[in-house]
Amino acid sequence: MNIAAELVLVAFRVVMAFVQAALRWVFKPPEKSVAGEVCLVTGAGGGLGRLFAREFAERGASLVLWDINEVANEATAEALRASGARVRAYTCDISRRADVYCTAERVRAEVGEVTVLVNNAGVVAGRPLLDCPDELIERSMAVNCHAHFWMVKAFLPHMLENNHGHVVTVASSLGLFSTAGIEDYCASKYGAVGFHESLSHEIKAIGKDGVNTTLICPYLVNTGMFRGCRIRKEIETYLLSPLEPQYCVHEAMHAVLTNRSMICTPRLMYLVVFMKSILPWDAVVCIYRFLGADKCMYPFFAEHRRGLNNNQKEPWTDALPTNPCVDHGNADLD
Amino acid sequence: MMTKVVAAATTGETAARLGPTTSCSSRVAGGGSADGSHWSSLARVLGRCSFSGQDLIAPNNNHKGHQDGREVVLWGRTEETLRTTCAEVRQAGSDCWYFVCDVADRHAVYRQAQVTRQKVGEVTVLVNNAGVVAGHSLLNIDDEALLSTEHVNVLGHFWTLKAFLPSMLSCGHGHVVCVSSVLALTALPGAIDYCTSKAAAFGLMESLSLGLESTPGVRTTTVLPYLTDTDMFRGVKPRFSWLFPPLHAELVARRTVEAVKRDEAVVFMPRSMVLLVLMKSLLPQAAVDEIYRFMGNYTCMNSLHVQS
Repeated sequence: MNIAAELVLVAFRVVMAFVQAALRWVFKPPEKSVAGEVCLVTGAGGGLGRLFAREFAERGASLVLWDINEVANEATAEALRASGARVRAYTCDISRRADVYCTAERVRAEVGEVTVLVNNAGVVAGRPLLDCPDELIERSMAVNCHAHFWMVKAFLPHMLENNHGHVVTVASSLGLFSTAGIEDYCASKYGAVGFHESLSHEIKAIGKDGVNTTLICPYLVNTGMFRGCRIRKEIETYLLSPLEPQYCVHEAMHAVLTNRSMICTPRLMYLVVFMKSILPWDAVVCIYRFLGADKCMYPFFAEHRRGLNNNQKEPWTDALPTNPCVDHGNADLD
Repeated sequence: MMTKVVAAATTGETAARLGPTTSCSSRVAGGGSADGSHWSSLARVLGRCSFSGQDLIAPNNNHKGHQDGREVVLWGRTEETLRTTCAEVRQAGSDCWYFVCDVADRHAVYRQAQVTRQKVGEVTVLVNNAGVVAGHSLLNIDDEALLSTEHVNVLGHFWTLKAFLPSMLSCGHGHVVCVSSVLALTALPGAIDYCTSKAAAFGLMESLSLGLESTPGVRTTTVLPYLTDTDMFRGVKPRFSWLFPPLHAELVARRTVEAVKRDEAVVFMPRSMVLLVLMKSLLPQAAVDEIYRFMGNYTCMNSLHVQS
């Protein structure tokens, strides 16, 4: 095909993409069924992970729960089993790729092939760069970013082989724009967004249209992970309050089940992303300052420090499992 | 006042040649000249093979006026290339030191930072240029290569910042430059390690620069160049290279130094790349995919010759 013809075709397809997007907005597309799918959720021990697991379970999926915290993970599993779901729970430190590959083998042997992968697990160091121990920086990158490499490498091949699957990346709005003092988290979430984008294009480039990807970028969610984080009071009260986890997961599930490529929650975040791409940096900083978004994590750091001074357990340094591939799920899926 | 520019540039074919710079904004602690032609800073450039090691330093030989002493510190993994570059920098009229250091190894970074401080002095301009690429799709990429890219391209920035930022902050004077890539914001298939790492470096710098807003003397510049004509991405074939030709390394370096002098926080090269980012935030994903496909983005990395 000559270039002029190709250009016309591309222009037509671009216009059609707009039309389809408009139609989707007006006539909400039906949600696909995940009954019978094997859905793996990382970080299922709490926060959004537990809610994702519940949502998938309610829709008839079999669940595989991964978390480093065995107790919390098992609590999620028990709650889901009580409602009749088929669940296996595995204790796994996804920052260690050997752990990931080993546990993935066990999942394949004991459960079957994973068809929906929800990369949800996330940690934060909770300290600005110069106050942050190197190990915590490495940990943030390893869990929030590098773990996605290993998880997708473990489970994508089968999805591609069958041209059927879904990879969900739970990043953050801090993967699209940043705030002061949270360099480890921002770097890792920007990395996760870059990874997801590149992965999506790779899957499309090889023509596997049965394998979908969804990027989820929620604004601050009320899970306690960033307790204390505050933007300007008036903005927080009237425009941008922290999200309820249920709402966030509900929106995310809808995006996943309608094969949307990306969702920002709330939709106001799209405006922030657009603003960032069009305005010079100094203007962006002015707006951040006005919103109180530039230093919104500082109260979080203060609370975090207070918590540690009160002998609160250091987050995300729970004892690592001494034996990788320790399985504490005991319900058969059949 | 004797101004010192210490630039560390790592090895590679385009190693650094930092010479005297033309008028730069002055960042002398406690005051400075209005015309900005004094640059009492120590600049350090880290880079390997990609453009700017050498070229960041090269174009600034048109120094006029204040010929202050400039000290360049080169960091890299290959001693031979460091030595060559060092010689070139000295020929250009600046003092130059080199230290062998792999920025992926934080202990080495801290150790060599200490040595740099002792032998040369406090670094006040840090250029994180080091970059590697494994350049494969995710399922074809070796795990170690993947991690190596992450460690050099992202974690290395954390360590160098931790090594050199405190003194910049205590003097209230300094500049951090991060050489990212336009792929940080517009990822492509075929170099997933690179896209992830450059995006992460960009996120790091954004968060850092917001935190540094309260220290006006310490600034940041993040450079996002399009494909450059260096060995790192040799073989990459964009479809319409007549429309978007690879950038000359020297041009990128020159533009970077200009951005540093003007305290520009984010620099796209060429500027038109910002339209790509804008397009992505406006268009539906399916439209973006079509445009990428048409532009050859889905195949341009297939011919990448990965360096060892």
